[in-house]
Amino acid sequence: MSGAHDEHGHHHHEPESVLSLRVRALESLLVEKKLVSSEAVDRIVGAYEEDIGPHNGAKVVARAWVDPSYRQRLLADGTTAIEELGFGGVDLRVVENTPGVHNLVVCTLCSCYPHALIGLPPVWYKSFEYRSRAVREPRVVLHEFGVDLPESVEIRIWDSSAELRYLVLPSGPPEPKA
Amino acid sequence: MGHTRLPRYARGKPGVIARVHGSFIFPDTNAHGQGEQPHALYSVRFEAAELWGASAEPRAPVHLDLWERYLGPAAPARSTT
Repeated sequence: MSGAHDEHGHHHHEPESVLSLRVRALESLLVEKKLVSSEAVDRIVGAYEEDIGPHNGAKVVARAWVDPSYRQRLLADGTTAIEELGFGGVDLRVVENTPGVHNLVVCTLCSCYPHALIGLPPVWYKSFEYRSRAVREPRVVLHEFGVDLPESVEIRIWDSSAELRYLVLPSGPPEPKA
Repeated sequence: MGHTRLPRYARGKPGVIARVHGSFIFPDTNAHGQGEQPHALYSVRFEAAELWGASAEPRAPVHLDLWERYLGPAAPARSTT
């Protein structure tokens, strides 16, 4: 970083990682060449810290659990239904877990992920291992995540090979006993 | 071969169209400066045994989003008589 942002350096007591140094070098080059502004970078970092994250997807899921007509709209047309809650900019398909179907999302070609609703993907989601094994041996992969499903349950894999992004609507919590 | 969103594991495999998504920009031409050429995108369901053969896990179908130009006619259905 350069100029007004030099003070950031003073807060670091441990040596920076190679990745972090590389990012800082790239950022300062891009800023010096006036390809991006420091303010723009700060805005994007701030958005990922505060606005973008799984809490957005959680709102959509919670609404679907308590509002059956919203759930219907969400499953029929996810793109439009999330706009009702103020989320947009993504073509979304929502798929529902039921007693007979468990959904699993993967992007075998790259690492497509519904950022707008659930933030940044975990590292394993982008790994070659997950991307190749999720389609080929999903039951083994789920077992490794601690999910064991009977063979009667269909595991439906969604390989997001185009521009559509996938969100799984998990089963809701059980109805409270009256 | 240029840019494509047709995963190799599904090439030439039989599947069933499960849903019509509508018209989407075609990456195979758009990525090469040959225009957006939007056309129909389908959700296509492939049974695991069709993709992986006898070693496939049971009841583990894969859905892919495929543009119409990726699809070809299916082989005639085998006679059940």
